[in-house]
Amino acid sequence: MTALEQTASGFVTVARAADIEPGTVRVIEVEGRSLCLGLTEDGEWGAIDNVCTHDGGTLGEGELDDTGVECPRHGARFDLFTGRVLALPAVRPVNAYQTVVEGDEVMVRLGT
Amino acid sequence: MDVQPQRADVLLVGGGVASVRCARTLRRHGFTGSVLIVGDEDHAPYNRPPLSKELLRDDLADELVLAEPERWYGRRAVDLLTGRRVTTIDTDAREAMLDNGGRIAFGQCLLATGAEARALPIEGGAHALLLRTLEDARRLRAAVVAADAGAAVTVIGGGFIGVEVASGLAAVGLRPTIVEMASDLWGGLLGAKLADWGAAHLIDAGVALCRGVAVTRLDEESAWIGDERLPHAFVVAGIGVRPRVELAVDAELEVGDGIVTDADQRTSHPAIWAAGDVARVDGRRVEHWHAARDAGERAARSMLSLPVPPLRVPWVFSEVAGIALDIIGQADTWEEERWMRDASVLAYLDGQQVVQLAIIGSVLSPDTARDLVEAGASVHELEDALQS
Repeated sequence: MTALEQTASGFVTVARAADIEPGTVRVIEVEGRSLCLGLTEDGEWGAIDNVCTHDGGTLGEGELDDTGVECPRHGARFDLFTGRVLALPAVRPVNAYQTVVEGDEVMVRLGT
Repeated sequence: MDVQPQRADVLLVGGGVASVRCARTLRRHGFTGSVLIVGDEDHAPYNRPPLSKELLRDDLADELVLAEPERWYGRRAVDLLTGRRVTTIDTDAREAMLDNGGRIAFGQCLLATGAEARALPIEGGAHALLLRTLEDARRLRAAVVAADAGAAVTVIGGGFIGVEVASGLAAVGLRPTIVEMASDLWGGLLGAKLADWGAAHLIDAGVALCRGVAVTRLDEESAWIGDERLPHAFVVAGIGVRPRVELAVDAELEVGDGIVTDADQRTSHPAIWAAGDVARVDGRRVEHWHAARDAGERAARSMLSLPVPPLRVPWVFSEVAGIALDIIGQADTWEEERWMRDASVLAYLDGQQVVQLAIIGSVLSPDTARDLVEAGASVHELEDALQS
């Protein structure tokens, strides 16, 4: 990962684009927050909170299919772009973060 | 309506999570042949664990329980035929017959027909609601909504389903009574210490317990324990399930308590695999969600002649009065039950070896717990893990 770099627009560089395979998610620790960063098979980037609202499972260690991130613990699913609950047992959404790529840098806007 | 293919390279019989995970794993490993799931319920495959928990407590949309979203089937080119039952399998011809007279030729077949709730074998037993399917869950939720605040409900059976249902009923302001034949909750299978812990929390939450007695009959408004009458608004029974093995029996596959498979989910027929609640895998039938998913994935790998990872120890996640409870392992015997970490982890010990764990309130990750039990960890190693 690159060194933290806060831009005027509130975006922080969190990863290199080449660090993540399409169709997967991974855990990113940034500015004291734990995020689940994902790249869909269709080439779109997204980031949500890393902690499942159901039972604390680690979303960034789960599976990404289409736009849904599946918690590896009990199978709750969240939308990678909105944080909305797609499947129980979670009932509360997670925060979603605007994510952009500039060159090789994946940047996330932490203020929600 | 779905188009019925005449042939499926892989036919998945049963519309539950084992079939879906099998299809998903086949596609993830690049399998390009045709895949067809046939399920006899009218819904796309769904997850059952929320039926006795979230769906009982709140009005929630059906789509939230789907094992995969609707558009997944199109994206992955997995055909889905719902509301259809496979009635027989001709193992020589490798053909399945449907209840509408259709036939499906297959190359490989997975039997994942699941289990069905046992009906209550007593007078008036039909008055009891059962809980197995999404329809059952909707009926139960309707009864909850229709009941007056504080109404009494009888819950027959103090196993995982009975305890979860009673917990949910208490959470929405009803007054459930669990009637369990055994002297302890969970039929005594999880030991006295965990049962005592569970009983204390249920009672605190407003659940009454009648242990060591059986309901002898039901009428429209009450349950009877001998001459004692328990009036109620409605009654639910959770007294276990029966594996749906009929197809396998008719096809002359090896069947014991479930369809017998080896550790790679293969039945006694070379073109047929079995997974989920119906399968007795390497000597053990496990009725839990994680096991069904794992088994579907394992069957897919086995079908593709890929290495199949070792079987993991069973893991069930449940809830008691709103508190998460994970049981890791399924030991038949142990010598000692020992509370650890301020009574949030119960270790089942055989000598110094941890053979099963009960984790309360998710204080230890289930993955870590599984690793410990599978490694045959000592109680000292468990202590170290709890401190880190």
